[in-house]
Amino acid sequence: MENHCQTTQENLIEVAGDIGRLAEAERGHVGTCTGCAEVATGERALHGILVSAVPPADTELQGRIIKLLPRQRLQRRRFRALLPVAASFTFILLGVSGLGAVPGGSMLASLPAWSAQCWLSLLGLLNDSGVAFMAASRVVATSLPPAFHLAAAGLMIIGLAGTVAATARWRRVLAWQHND
Amino acid sequence: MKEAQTTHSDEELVALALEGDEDPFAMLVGRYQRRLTAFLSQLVGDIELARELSQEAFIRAWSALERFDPKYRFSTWLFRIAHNLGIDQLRRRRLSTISLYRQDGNGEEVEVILTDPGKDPLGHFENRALGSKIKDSIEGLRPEYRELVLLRHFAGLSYQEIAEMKSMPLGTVKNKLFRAHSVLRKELAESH
Repeated sequence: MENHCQTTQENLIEVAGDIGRLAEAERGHVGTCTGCAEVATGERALHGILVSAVPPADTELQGRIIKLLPRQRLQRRRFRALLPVAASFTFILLGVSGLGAVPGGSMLASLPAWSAQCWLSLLGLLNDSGVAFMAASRVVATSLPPAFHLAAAGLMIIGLAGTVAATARWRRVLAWQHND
Repeated sequence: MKEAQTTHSDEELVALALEGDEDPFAMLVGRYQRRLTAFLSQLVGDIELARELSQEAFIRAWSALERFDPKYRFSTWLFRIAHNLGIDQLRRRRLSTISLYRQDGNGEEVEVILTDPGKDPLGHFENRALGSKIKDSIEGLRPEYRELVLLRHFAGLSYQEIAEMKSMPLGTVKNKLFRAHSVLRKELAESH
């Protein structure tokens, strides 16, 4: 087949045999070429059949899909909301464990008696946990190369950066919650 | 619900949906459900399964909406999701079936995808004989041609959209559809 005929027929297929949508030169060619004219006729017939083969819109299915959308968003929102919280907590835990105590804990003693008691109890618990963790980590750290400490510091920095990034996205989720 | 009639483009609706409003996405569902289900029903050969896969495709698109890159068309992204779901379904089916082959209009062997007559994706077609002929002709095409025919005529994608979705040069899309249509026209002419 001539290259010109193939190009014209490819374009005829694209316009579903509608000669009026072809370029002027190609329209002229179809008028003089039996092969291309037959293709145009065949494509119009084929297009008519294929178009009618597409079933009508399914309103029941559309309704079902739309009903499922809020549930998907709620699940996503919960996950997204928990992520920065978990990251923040992990970071805090690492920091507290690394320090072995809550910074500024001694200042809590100047608070009113009832609140100071509660906070000091919590501080004591955290301190105990921190001290125990630090003792264990020191034992492990002495047997590990300096590269490990560097990696651990890097991990904390990454955790901090991840917390900041996740928290920034979290603010956008809060905007959605106002629409509930 | 009627098919969505709105002046908003797909990308504008996606942007509105990302702000937390579900109505714009519902408009997209109305806009694409018919074509998506038509495409999937031809791909998997089962209208009920196609409806389930359509639902899954829309839910996945909704869940992944923030990852949608507006550099591409929403339609190609959505149909790529649907296409992957359909292909996964066909692969699962092939694992438990024996493949059959027949020769297409060019004398080449193509795999036959058997469909359950009770779940005919063209069951709504008024002319049952013609519907059956169409179905056989499309199923008899080589997989690469068949896929493009489905994307063009059932998914309603333009040549440019098909090229984008398949990461294929536009000329290749034109050429393959040219070959596919040659076979389809020939087989339909023989049926008259």
